[in-house]
Amino acid sequence: MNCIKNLWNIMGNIYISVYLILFIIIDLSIGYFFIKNYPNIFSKINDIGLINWINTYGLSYIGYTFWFFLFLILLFLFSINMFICTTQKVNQILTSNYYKNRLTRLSPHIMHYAVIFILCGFLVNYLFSDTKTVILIPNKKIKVFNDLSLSLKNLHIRYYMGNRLSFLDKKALSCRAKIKIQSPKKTVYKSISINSPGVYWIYTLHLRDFSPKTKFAMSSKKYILLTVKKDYGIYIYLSGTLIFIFGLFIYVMI
Amino acid sequence: MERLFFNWACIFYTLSYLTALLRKKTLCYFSFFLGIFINLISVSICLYHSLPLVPVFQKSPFIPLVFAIVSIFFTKKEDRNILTIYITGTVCFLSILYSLFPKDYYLPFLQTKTVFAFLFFICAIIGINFYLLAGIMSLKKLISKDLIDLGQSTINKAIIWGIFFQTISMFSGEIWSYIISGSPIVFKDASVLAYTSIWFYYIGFLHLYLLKKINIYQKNIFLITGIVIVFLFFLYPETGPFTIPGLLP
Repeated sequence: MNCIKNLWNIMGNIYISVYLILFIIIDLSIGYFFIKNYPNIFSKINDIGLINWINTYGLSYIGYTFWFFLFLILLFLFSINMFICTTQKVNQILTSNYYKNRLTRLSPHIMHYAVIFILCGFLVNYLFSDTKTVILIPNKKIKVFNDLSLSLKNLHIRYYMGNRLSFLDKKALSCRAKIKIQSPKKTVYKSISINSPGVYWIYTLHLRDFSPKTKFAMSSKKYILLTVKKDYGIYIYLSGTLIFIFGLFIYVMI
Repeated sequence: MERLFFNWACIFYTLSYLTALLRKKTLCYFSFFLGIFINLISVSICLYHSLPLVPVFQKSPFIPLVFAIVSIFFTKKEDRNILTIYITGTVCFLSILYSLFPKDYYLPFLQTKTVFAFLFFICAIIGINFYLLAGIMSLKKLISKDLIDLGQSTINKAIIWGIFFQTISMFSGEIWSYIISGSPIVFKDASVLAYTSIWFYYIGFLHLYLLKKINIYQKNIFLITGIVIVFLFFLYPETGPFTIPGLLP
């Protein structure tokens, strides 16, 4: 029992936190150099998921990706350290009568817990999410996952016809696509655009590209490029983000 | 056109620094505010030719302007008097840097047409400028060791506001990345790691008070080193090849 208590105290030591932060900064600086010079090695993480990426690019280019593995280890240790350290402090604040304004005192710790939430959400996203990229043409049904089929019902593109944004002359300014989503449970219609993804159950539909891009390109066929994501982590890291912002506002404003 | 105005702003910022060195207060303030005004015109032109898309690759004209505005509104009058040479010097340095080494012009893309892209862009610039301000305040404090007017709490507040804005920027970036691609982090963009390094650095600063061995002198050294980190990870990537600045249309 004493052994566990000692380990708990050592892992929650604030000096370890500071050293971990220092190592993370050094590691990220090394990572900055590698991503800047070899972006293609790392860009695939988003498309194929963390495990597949580790088994392919990660291990094949270990000379360029070692910092990333180190980063994962450091984040893991940092999360444990932060959880223990924060729990000790929160316990102290909640059990002591010394603290008057408890919410203000707790605000940094709310942010600490939120960071753990966010990191867990990221981990779930990169470990368990499934990503598919598909091209949809009007009225052609495509099976994306076993329980999900999509078809493009309508495509509305708005072109810029003004003078102010010369680089956009007669080019697309916005695009809205109406998608028919069919699953064994039901059929629904969702309207999505470049910055407004469609959400259906655990799936999210992100419009990545479309055609025609220019108003008078008569020969261009209508199509959209869609990223369909089966994402389990989104609600975890979005709630972590909201909790962090809540804690941050209390910390700064009060 | 915005570059032309920016180059003129640079001239007035330089003039304000030189007059601050010569202790010509009125002339210094006049040229400083004229520089801000012209810089504001250059930034307005940049936004006029981009909005509703966000010029995420054109940070350079915004950086000296935001630093000047943050310095004016954040510092107290007595602090500003002490820091005049440092503030005008920093604005002058930043504007000369981006006048002589402007980044290549990249067009804004459709995915930037969202409030999250705008928050990501502007809050990063504001946050970074708070860090810079805290850095130069620490530098001044360290050089003039007998200076007690410049309180440590003002420096700490600058860091807290810097972290506040940078966090808002990073979260906006996370949501923006998610809505366009379905992933909260874009791993092919090195600047994501650069921002995160800067964020961790100042988060580390906020935790230094828990270490009993660290004194104020060491904290100030930490913040001065922060200027180097900010320069390497944020300011330097916004530069491009050397160009002779034009002053005529």
